[in-house]
Amino acid sequence: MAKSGEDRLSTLPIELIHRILSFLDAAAAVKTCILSKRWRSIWKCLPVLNLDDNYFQDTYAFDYFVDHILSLRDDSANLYELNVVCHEELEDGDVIDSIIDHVTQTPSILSHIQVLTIQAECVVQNLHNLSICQSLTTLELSEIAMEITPFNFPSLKCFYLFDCRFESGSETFFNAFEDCANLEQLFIDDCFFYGEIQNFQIVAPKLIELRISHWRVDEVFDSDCVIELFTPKLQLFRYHDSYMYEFSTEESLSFVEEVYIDMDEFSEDKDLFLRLTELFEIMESAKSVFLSTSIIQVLSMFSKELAEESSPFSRVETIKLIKDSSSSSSSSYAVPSTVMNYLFGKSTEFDIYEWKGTKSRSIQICKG
Amino acid sequence: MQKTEGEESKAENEEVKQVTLMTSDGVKMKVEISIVYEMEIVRSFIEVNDADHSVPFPLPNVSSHTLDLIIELVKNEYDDEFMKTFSHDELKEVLVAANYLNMKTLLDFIATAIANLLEKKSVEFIRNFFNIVNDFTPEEEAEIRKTNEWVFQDLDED
Repeated sequence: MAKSGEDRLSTLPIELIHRILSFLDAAAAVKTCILSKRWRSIWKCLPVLNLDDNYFQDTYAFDYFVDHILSLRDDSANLYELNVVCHEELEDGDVIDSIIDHVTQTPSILSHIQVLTIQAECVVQNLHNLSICQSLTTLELSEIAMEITPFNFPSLKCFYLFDCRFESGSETFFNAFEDCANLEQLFIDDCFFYGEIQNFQIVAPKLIELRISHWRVDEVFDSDCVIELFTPKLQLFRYHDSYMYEFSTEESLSFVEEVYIDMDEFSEDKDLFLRLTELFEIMESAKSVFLSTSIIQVLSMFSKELAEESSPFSRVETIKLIKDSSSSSSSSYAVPSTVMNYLFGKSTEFDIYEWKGTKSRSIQICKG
Repeated sequence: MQKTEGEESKAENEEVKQVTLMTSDGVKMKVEISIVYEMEIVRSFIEVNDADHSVPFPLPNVSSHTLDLIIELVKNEYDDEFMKTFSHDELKEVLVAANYLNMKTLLDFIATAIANLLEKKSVEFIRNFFNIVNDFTPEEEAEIRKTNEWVFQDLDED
């Protein structure tokens, strides 16, 4: 019995070797060619490539490596996932542009690639060429800078933008995702959109989850830019920032289940108060509502106005208070009765919790 | 999601909470249905046939020792520390079994663990792990290093 086990293990099937090597850095995967004759060309057919400059002395060596691995790959082997990470700041985006060219010019990659992630601090020129790629479902971009015209990725389902800089020119209306009609998940984190945008539209008929954090439109922090949502299927909305943009929508978002709004700072600002209450009304269907204690504080500063507002959340079941770890660990938190009445007005049953990270526990509510 | 379904059926019917599996060394093991549901090969059979759970489902390619390891891994929600106690053969046994049982999460978890183990290890270590016999002559090996200098250049300096 033990012997047959050993025999079975001595030659793992090629798909299992591919799977292991798919989790390795590409340089380490290529180096397996030295192991034996059977292994000599295995790296040429890998379904996943992880290109990382961490393993190279400088950008030049990484560039040289990328050039070789892509051109020496077996052109008939399908590539499903390509992950590129450059930790070093690049002088130009040539490495990234040549990788994108390789993707769009190699049929076995172009028609099969599903996941592409690029992390590189550089200006990228030809990202839009990926629009001809019909298998791409997940695109994650970090630290890149580029001029944008509306993104045109018709097959894309998940689009993640982290720490990116976009130059949008002199357009005042900007509809960035109109040609990404299949988008289901959109994360925009720490991104700047430079230009003169007054009206940023997110048109995504299939969008389920939208996360926005530390997003700056027009570089100006008190920008009057309006973010318009045309996302009729939206279920999850997350917003985390020190600033609140004005949100608007033409049609109600009746599928919203969960709303998470975390403000780092707060001030006695009537505009902020109005933007918050408007956003609550847009998210009126939410069953779970997560609010930072700073938002409760903003609301409580306008109790006179609140008393005249009707309660926004018609289906709310739970409200959780987001407390950051620096705030006091006291288990009770005073929520003024005007705020309570406003938040829970139409609901007869609800629970309220304090929430830190993934843990939540019941919180004693004191009417202030 | 699979777990929830497992828990639901557990609540509905006390009798279906366990499925008996018969390993390659003839051991009958009762396994919680929530764990069995992660095994696509067993799950699809149970769902299609609405099988009698008391009849052991045969797993001719999985030993009782390997099945024990798999059950512990799933129960502990894929605990890294527990897996670090595995021998190289156990890692490969679990990998092959996860592939046969079609357990996607476990397969990715164990493949990642093996990749991490092999990362930055010597050629000899990797040969040893995969039981590879070096069938290159020293001349052939030198030739491969030379033609692939674009990846071996940094290694030579170590």
